Amino acid sequence: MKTNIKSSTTDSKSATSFIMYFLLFAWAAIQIFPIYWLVTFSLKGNSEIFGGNALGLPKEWLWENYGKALINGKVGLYFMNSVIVTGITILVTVIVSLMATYALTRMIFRLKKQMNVFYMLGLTVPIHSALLPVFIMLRNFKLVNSYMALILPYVAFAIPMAVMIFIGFMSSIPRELEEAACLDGCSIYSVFFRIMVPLMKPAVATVSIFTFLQAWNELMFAVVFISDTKYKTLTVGIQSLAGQYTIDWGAIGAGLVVATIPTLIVYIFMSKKVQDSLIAGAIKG
Amino acid sequence: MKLKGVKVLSALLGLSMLMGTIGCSSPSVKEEKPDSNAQVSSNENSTVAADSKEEVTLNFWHIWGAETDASYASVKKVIADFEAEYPNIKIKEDTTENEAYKTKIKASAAANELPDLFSTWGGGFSKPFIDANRVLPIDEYLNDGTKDKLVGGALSNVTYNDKIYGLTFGLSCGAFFVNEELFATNNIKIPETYTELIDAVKAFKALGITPMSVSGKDVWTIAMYFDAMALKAAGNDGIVSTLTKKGSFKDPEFLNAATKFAELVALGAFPEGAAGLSKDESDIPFLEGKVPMLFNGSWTAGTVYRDDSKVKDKIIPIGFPVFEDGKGNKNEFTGGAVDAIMVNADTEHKEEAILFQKYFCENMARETYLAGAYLPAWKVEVDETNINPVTVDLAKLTSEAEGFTLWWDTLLEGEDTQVYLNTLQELLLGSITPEEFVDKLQTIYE
Amino acid sequence: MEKVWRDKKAIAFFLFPSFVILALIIIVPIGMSSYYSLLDWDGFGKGEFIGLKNYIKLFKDPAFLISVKNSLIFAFSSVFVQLPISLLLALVISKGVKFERFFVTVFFIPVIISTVVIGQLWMKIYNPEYGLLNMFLRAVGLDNLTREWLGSKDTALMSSVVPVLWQYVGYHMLLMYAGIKSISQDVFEASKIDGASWLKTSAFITIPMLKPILKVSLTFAVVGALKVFDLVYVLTRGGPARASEVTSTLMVETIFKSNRYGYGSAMAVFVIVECFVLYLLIGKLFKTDEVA
Repeated sequence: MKTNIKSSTTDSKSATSFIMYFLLFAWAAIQIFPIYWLVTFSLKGNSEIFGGNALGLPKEWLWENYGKALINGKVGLYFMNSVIVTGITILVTVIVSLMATYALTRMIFRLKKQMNVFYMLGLTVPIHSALLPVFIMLRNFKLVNSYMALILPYVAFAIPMAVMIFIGFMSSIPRELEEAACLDGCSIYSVFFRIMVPLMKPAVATVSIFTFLQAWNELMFAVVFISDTKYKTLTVGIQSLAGQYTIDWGAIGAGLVVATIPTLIVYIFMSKKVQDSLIAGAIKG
Repeated sequence: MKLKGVKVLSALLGLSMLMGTIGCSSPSVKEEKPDSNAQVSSNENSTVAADSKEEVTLNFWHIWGAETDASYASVKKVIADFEAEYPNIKIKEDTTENEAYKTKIKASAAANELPDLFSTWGGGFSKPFIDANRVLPIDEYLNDGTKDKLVGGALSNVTYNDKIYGLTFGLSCGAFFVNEELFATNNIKIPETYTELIDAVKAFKALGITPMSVSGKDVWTIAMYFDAMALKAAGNDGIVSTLTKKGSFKDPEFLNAATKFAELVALGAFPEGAAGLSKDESDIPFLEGKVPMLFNGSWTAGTVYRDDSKVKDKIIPIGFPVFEDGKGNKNEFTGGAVDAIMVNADTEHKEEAILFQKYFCENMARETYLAGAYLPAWKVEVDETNINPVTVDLAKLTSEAEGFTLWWDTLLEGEDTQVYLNTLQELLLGSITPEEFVDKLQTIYE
Repeated sequence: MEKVWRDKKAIAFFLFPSFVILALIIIVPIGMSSYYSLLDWDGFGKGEFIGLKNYIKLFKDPAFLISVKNSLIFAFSSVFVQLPISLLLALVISKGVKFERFFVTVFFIPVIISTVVIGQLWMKIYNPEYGLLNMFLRAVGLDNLTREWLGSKDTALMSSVVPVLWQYVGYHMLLMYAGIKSISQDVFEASKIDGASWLKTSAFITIPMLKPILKVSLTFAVVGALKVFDLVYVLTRGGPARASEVTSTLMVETIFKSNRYGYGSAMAVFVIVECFVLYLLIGKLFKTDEVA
């Protein structure tokens, strides 16, 4: 099937296809540049970063920036915290949002429209204005200085995004399969878990990526809600490398390289799931 | 697969139900004035009884957590010394980056989640905390001779309504850092008066050298210049009375300062596109010896004397050149003792916290001076031979000081500070005239 | 099936966990912010109830009006520049080009790089002295087009729009790509048998079937643009002289620097309402489209 598409594009219009590939690779070069920039940035000192050699390879390769970042930024400890917080956030977000989406797209009840609006509302809240109210809520639940202090708000701010994306995907899935299963005597719960959830794989992968990005990079909540080294996350550790009047940008760059690698891995892994759904779709069809 | 999913779900349900019940019992909207019950139970440090024999843990938040900071090692040493001297008291530090710390400390003060002790800034920044009774007044604890150990003015920025709310340890002041070598090789006189400054600016411009560094994006760096110029124009008394709303920005002195600032801008004293440069970007040409002058805080001494510095032995600090037509003189400086340590009004360990506060500030005064980070706000005896020579020069320069006039963005409260900084940025851009500038400043009075 | 889908217990079961989390962490804080917006309050002491005065002041505040205008410019350029690029990329790479995985990965890279780094990168591009942009213009002899990009009132806004749009092209591309991938393959097979070109297939089959996802993308783009903060803050801090001020940067300054918590909360409530109105408009747009 795949080869079909390819051959039909290559035979007649090789000129168009050449231009297309040229543009794709040109765009790819632009998009890949930030990675190159980040890596070279992490190996330079301030005078190169802010001086004449802003974009080239380092004149002096400062590998010690990585040592500084790993030790002073306590990257080892904070890395685990970020993994725990982000991992649980993704898991909870995906599960509760999928459930909610199923009710919001398939189920029939009064106030369904209002419910949709309710979920959407979370998308509109400016995060900075939520800082103090959320802080006060967490304090009242005695959750300040714990993993939950971060997981709960991260999940809450991810749910509206996740539900919107899931609705977009679920509403284009035909209902026949579920109806057939229902005739076979499946309960609503097994219809959801056995039929709907597997069909939503590409959406789940997409939502996981976006939730990961939000939680992994979040800084303000992490700074304010956590004052105990035990629970601090990676971004906070990297930020703490910045001094009051002097900032060692090379070490910060090194910390950010370390923080970006997992993101890249998660993305490559998850986006493969998105692509694989092509096969799943073919089988299902 | 199904079974697994259901397990997770029921666990989640249990969790959210638990939250639901707590949620119901807690008042929601009117939480901005938390009652005392809430904070007693939420201050996790307060589990240990206040008996001095028992082990006490003091939570201490501050901003000196980065190794690049000149004060980093000093803090570590002073805390270690304290814990050795008072083995029953443990200091639990939490450090946050400077800008993020300001957000954190404000949110924590609002939610009544402050630690036992915290570093903060005197003047306008901490005033809302004091007004909201979040900070312990310490007057009664300072009559044990502590006051005599402090230099004059060390407490003026932590005194509110005639009560003392904190202790400082170091002084910072604004100074012109000039590259002696660049002046000498180009045969230009280091300026002592405003006319000479203009001559120097013109001479450097003629050689194709940008005379001064400033970051228009990190607006406070512009204020460093303008605060000093206003001081030279109006003198300490003129500034203080005007900023405390007992005078007027429409006095000719302020217009004089603004006109001179605009003159520097028009002469091209600042780099091209300065308004779009961050401090990191704008500092580099100075630190590489390409720009001869930078007016900034005394902490710059630490930066120019770092191991990797290219201007290490070429920089001397001078005061801002005097205005021939100004009311200020050469012994007036901007700055003051601003960085302060305060104690939470609701701390469970008042005695221990104050003990640490005093110990910390007294010893930090010495250690940070030795480290070249601050000038001491306490009377200290140190061997100056190993101190950063730029810091020693600064100490000599300011030894004749009649006093320090606090930076406007520190003295003024939040809202007024923003008016000042935003208006100043426009003056740097040249998008408003000096007359419009003073008119806009005058809105602070409204 | 109808009966199963009306099962009240099941509905409650599906909605309950997310509903509780949202209510506590999002809805209650919205209520608190709305209440704060009626106060003259510095965030610490006692607030004074002043009714709608903050809102009245808001609409007379030139800084606020500029910030709303700038935010709308962000939203507008996001919809009309960013989304078309994302859609085109998604359509092209999903049709089965060589190196598909490579492109999917690489096109997303700017999204995963920390905003701080992206900001530093663009500061290097825009630097008036050694920046890539001015150097390029000088090299090709267009010296008169060189600018102080981030430092001038005339160019600061557009100079911050471009990086923000560019950074998130990959985000929307991924969303649309995943959407296309989950369209049943049979549809494409059928259109190929009919001999339809890729262009025709895209216009008449892929894009119409992608509508639910396009609606999501459009909503995210608009809401995201109205709340944009990070990159603008890194690049210009909203300056110079408010030239690139957006509502979020102004709100943060008002709440955290000026200590005007009540007034800043009024801005937050405005943003919520503004986003909400545009969300409803987008909904309308897609509905009328469906009928036609």
